[in-house]
Amino acid sequence: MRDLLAQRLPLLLASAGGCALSALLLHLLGVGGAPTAFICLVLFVPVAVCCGVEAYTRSRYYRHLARVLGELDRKSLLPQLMEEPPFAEGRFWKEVLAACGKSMNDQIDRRAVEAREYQEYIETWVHEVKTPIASLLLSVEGGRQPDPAAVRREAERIDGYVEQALYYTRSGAPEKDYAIRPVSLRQLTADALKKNATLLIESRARVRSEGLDRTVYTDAKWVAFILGQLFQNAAKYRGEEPLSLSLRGEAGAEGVSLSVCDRGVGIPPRDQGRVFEKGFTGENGRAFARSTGMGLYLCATLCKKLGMGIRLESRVGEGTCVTLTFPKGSYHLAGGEAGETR
Amino acid sequence: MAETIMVVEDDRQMARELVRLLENYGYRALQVEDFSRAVEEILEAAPHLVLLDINLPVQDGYTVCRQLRQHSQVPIIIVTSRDTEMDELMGMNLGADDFVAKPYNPQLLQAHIARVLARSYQSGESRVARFGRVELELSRSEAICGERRVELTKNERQILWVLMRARGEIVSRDALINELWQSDEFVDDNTLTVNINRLRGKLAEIGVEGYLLTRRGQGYQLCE
Repeated sequence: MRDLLAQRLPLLLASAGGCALSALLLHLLGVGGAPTAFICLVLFVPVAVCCGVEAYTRSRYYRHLARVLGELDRKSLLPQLMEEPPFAEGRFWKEVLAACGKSMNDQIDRRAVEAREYQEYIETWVHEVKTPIASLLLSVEGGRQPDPAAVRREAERIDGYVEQALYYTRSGAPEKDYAIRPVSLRQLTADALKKNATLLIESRARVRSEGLDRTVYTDAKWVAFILGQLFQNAAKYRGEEPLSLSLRGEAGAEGVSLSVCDRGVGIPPRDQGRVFEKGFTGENGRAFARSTGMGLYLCATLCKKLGMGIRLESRVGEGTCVTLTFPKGSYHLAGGEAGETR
Repeated sequence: MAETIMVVEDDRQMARELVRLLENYGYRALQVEDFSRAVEEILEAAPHLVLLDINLPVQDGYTVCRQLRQHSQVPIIIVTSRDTEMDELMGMNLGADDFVAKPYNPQLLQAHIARVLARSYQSGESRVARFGRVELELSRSEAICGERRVELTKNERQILWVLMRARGEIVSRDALINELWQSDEFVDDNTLTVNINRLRGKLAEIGVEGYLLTRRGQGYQLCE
């Protein structure tokens, strides 16, 4: 209250000064003492009363507000709980507070959703990674000599899961780790094939390639991971047949594209639109088990960060083609045009 | 003479496996015992190549790398599970020759080692593998029996080398295909059969018969 009155002091002083000046003027004009005092009072009292009333209402409102704030556990709820201020400025500030609070809450909500998704992912992930671990432990049960090929397969499965978790974390903040360099499609596909060799060879893979002597500008490690996910899908959903994998590079108007096609079971049309969604498993994912629904989602997320396109076409019983499109080199490197040769 | 490779890896189990693997590939392998004296130990051993882990006790691999470079030009391959661009860049800036991410597959590591060694020493002598009656000259890709020699294709040489390294044990078809994949030949089952038959044919040309045996349902093996 005192502060509020002190704030009004200049006004009161100015008003008093005005009164004194008027008194002096009236005295010079020969007006008597009593009328002068009356006029001064008429001038000063309303100002003083107005100041007083205003300071009182505000101080009462602010005291109330401070009490409410003190009692609140979650202070950010204040804008919803505060009374409508009885003065214009207060109403303005209430709106400001409400806007700040809402923006903050939206952000918190987003984070909460992310945290929940992350937790869900970790839970599924832990569940999945335990299978190969259990199978490894089982293979040495009772001092048995494990089959080296089986040990390798399970270890590589664990490695695959660990890698996926790493890229999942990185997909949130990829700026930290990527380097755009010129690299040939042949190199990219060879890296990914080698990395997934055990799984693919076990699936009796037959690899055909065409037009891979093209250079693109991208991060080789990330693309090798994306291709790895596509290869793993192709192996997982190949049905009873040996895996047939065809890799085709093409130069088009939007840049160089790389298609990975299999002759697997294919994806039903109603699922095709959703395969890039997080956690979507679809009919195949349920039928063939072992699907976190993260593979293609991660591919799409990483592609987006790298400025690449990803597109899926499929026919049930005929196979699936995923096409990656690499932007023209000039997007990433000044003056660098994506060449046709290695 | 076999090249000496120094393994700087603090995980005992891992180091042991690595040494065994390198010896299997025909190198002489040593490991650092006392990590507070890592640099001294390496300099004393004067190896042809150093395989260096980054996460080490006492001082990290980058420090070892830097100190090593002040005294020696020995080729260094950094082998680490920290595989971000930043790590790679840092290693290269400190004078490492190559970078392999863990977990690596053995053939890949071997390929990196061979490349770095070839680049650093450009050895005139060629490496020779031998099992039973047959010698394999790796760099010239020739199989030799007595005075007779025959040139092999890349695939045939690779197949023969893998089988020789197995020293008479059975090698599965999948393992052979995998080996070929690691040298950028993405062959399938049928191609392997064709390659094996050709290899047998070439061995017969130099008078070697009954050397490469088929174990139905299991794979292939060499017989002394």
